[in-house]
Amino acid sequence: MIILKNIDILNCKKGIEKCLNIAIKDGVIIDIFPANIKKEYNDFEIIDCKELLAAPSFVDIHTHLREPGFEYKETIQSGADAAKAGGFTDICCMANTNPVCDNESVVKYIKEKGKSTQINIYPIAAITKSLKGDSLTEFGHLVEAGIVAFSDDGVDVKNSFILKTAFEYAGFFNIPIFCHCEDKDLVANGVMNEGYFSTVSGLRGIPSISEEVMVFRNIKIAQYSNAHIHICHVSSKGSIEIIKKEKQNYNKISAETCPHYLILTDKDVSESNYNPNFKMNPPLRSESDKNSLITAINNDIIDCIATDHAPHAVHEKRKEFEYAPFGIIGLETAFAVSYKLVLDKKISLEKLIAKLSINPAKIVGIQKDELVKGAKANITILDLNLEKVYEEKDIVSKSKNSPFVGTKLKGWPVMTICNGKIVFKKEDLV
Amino acid sequence: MRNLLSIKDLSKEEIILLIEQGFYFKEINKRPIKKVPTLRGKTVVTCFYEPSTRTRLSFEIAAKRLSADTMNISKSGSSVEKGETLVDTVKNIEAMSLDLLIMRHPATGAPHLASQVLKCPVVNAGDGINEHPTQALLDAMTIYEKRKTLDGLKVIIIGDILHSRVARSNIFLLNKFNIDIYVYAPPMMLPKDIEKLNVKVVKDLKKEIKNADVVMMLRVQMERQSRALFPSIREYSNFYGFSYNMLQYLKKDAILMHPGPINRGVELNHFAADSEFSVILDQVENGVALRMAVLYMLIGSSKIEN
Repeated sequence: MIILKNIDILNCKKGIEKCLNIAIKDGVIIDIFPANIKKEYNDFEIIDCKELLAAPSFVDIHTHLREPGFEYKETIQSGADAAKAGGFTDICCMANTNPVCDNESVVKYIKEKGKSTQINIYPIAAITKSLKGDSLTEFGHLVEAGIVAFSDDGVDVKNSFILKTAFEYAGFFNIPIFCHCEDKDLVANGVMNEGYFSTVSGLRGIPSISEEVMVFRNIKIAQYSNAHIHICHVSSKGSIEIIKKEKQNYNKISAETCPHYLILTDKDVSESNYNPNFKMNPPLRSESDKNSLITAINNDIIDCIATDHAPHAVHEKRKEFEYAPFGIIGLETAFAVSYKLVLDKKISLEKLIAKLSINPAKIVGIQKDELVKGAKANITILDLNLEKVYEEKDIVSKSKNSPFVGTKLKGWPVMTICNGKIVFKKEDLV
Repeated sequence: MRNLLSIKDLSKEEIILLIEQGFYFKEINKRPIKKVPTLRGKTVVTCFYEPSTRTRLSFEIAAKRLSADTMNISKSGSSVEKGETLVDTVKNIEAMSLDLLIMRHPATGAPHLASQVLKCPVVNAGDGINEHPTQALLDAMTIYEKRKTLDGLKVIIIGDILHSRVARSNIFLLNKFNIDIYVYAPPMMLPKDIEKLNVKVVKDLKKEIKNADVVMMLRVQMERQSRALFPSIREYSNFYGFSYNMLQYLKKDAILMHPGPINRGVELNHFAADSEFSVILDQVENGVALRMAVLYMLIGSSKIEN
């Protein structure tokens, strides 16, 4: 039983209402009333949230939790803790663990482990056994076990026939397929976006067409099979153009991008002095790609922002750029990084919150409401004035591979409430 | 100058100074006793993760002529093969009191990584497809030696630009001077947006070569091509190699360069390689002197004794 006092509340459609009290009991918002009205809520813990903003809690539909198999990078618990610190109460974890999440027992293992994390963990199952692209996993049994999507994230399903079969079968269960769109032959052994900056840096390039041709192929196959396709980590202008055009003919397309693609570019890679924390797949693209993504957020070609949180241990990343693995962590910085766009007046705060909460939830069918009386008490509380340097020592995730280490960012989650319980609270909050 | 990792880090003045210093050391190399005590008591380690004859020998001779103690580490037979990370390897070498590390590595940025964890200077002796700064400097020294200037020249670089760290370092260096840079290569061997580096892509070589002052041939790097980018050696040689017939188009005072090792009959015809235009062995000779200059600039504390 909690009262959040003097808090501002953001509604993604209606905007911000100031200075309210929120009463929470049994995991539900039982009352919202102006702070200047006195009501009898005895035995409620009162938390003063003056100057803080409550928003529907965040949902990440693209997280790598690394357990089972790579616990030294991240465990389900440590990943969940990072999520809480980033304002997330619901995260969907990708299947590229060891063993791969391609059978019910791994799904059950993840769900069981997830129960003690205090937040909601939703497994995503592999499309093909061992992510090999050869034969489909048991979609029916996996759906029964409680998965929310299918994805071979990390690789594309190379064989178009297998992918068509997957879409047809997934459509039957009404479960989305998350496509990692990448033509590996075009990527070859590239490590950063191909263009002027790869040429200047002497690093092998990854052309944006390696993503775009597969975005097109995958959408066409989904459409032919009448299934829901979700495009993961869209990074290029060409992909946006394809998605925009195809969305006009077919409504079962959704798409995500990640905070880093909205803020960083290949110029930053070039200026990083070969820092592998600027290496991820897809790579950071050009300025014009970045601007195109921001526009796509605004006109809803991109439906949501996901983190693609991909932990790698320090010893794996502290390597020659070419040899280091792809991927960066992102749960803890997702809001602060994206909020830069709000500060720069490129998108509205309401839009940003919708892309981090209600929209992604809709894609995977998680119940998610605005903060109204009767809604589940899943709340992210933000301090938009808090400005701090993101330091390695503050990172909650087991891995530290973030390009934002050392960057000053403004606007941070300071409290996360999941199912009515405070699961994260910044120390100095009373 | 703390490290020599990239030509991009050098100013035009520093480049000129290194070349001038190089000519000074070249004179020492011609003496009967080719040794000065400049770097006596200094320890220089060459750490080569890739095969090399010329560059490694050149650095080693350069260090020895300055009286430094030199040691070599190569990939085979070292802890690198046992899985030690680059950072651990170089920090272990440093723990044995190192004054300068010279590194060649198949991965771009490896010497940069080493320099981030070491207190001593690092010299990039070639990293991946990225840069080979001392090669560009010795090339500039050779051009200067033959043409008495760098400004106002026209340079054509021919070959696999995409995989060539020599081309990249040379382009960065030549761009600091008033030089017209041209490249000629099969399109799939040209890096993306190369024109933005103030480089013109040649379509008709015969036309452009007539008024070129410098022709730089590049080695076809079979080992760096992940896939066959070219149909056949025969076709490459006929369309992009420098043949005997091409010699007739060159200006009288033009020079023909190659960083070595030459694939004779592939990018460079036998007659062209040994023609009067060729300065390939001058490049090698200047390489030692220029590398002495680099070592001196980085760790030479006392004045040069005559």
